Amino acid sequence: MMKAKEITVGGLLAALALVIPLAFGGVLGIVIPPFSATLASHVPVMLAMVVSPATAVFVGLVSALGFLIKLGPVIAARAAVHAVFGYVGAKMIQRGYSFLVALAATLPIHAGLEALVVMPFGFDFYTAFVVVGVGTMIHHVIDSAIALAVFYALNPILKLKTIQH
Amino acid sequence: MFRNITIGQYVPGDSAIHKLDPRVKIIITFIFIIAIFFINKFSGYIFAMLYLWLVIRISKIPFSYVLKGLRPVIVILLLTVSLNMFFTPGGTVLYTLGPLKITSAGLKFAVFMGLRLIFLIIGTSLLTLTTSPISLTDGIEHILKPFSKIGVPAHELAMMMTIALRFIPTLIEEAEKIMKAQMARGADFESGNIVNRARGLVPLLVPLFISAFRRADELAIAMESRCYRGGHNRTRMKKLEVHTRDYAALFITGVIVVLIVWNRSWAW
Repeated sequence: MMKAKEITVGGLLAALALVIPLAFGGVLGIVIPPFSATLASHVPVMLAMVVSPATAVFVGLVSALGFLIKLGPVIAARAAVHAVFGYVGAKMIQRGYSFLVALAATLPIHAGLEALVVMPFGFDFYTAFVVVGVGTMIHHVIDSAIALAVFYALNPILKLKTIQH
Repeated sequence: MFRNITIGQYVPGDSAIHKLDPRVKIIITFIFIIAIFFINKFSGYIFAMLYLWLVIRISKIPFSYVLKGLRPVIVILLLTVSLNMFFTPGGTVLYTLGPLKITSAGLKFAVFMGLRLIFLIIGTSLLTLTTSPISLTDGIEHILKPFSKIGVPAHELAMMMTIALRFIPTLIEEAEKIMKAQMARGADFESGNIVNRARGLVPLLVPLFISAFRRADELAIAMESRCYRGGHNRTRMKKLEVHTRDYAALFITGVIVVLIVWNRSWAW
């Protein structure tokens, strides 16, 4: 059974995963057609990796829901990939890897899967792997830097690692 | 601006829509979202519009309140419409602005995508506007229950979803306050290159996440002090039951979906 704190932290991160694309899409959105990204949209999933794999998957799926409401199925399919990289990252952290290593290791998984997932929507190989794939890699690196900044600012106060099983 | 987001807000009421079984409302919302993506011509939106109008009328939620939820997404709506308008080729050229051209096909596609976004937001908002967080949790938990056999923590996930929906308005308000406070100190979130914009986000996100985690901490203490033990052996004061009105709602939704799918083969 999940602990109460795990549930509440998961709930709040999921709320932030919905709020970031819905409320800040205009301010944080970057559009270089056909690639689009919302800065900091990965941060809730990345922080959820520290909590537990179930929380990371849940927050990833909720962020996909937020993007589905706002930007349609292609972006939602890309956002659904967050659940996968979140799970992998959370499992790595559970096995003792640092947050930084988990973020770096999930970079190729994230970029590769986002490139693959847009192909059924009519994206050609170049657009999927070069535009979306490389764009996602850059977005992942920027969001990782933000997540690390937030994590190191938060952790002395909140001791996030104590929630882990 | 952010306060206008209606997703996650609940308007108490006694209408037939409010009384519908939450499971049925969740399923209907998903069916509606999928149906919206099936629409391939403007006439299809007539059915979606009629359906939403009917739901809003029965739920007795002021139409202006529902529309208010669209205000925060105007920027992204305009962005989506402009991008589709300028970058969709085909049709006759209606207007030329330097290297950019507005074509008839681009304009048509832009309006089509804009309408899709509007219907999606209104349709999703209506679920939370007419369903209390407790009913929503119960509904999600019941829908996820079959998956608990394969290890999916149904109750916990439903609880997380409820907390998420409950805290969306609070976090939006908080974000607005932090943003204004940082802007008063000279923070700039909108200009500069990608690295500068990312760096500019840290003073916004750190207080926002700290406040969210503090709330989570307080909530966890409150839950544990009331002996919260999750879904195991939990009994309910109100049992969910499907009534005739729920079947009627499913039937009406079914009719709309059939009309939308049928509309795909129409000439107009």
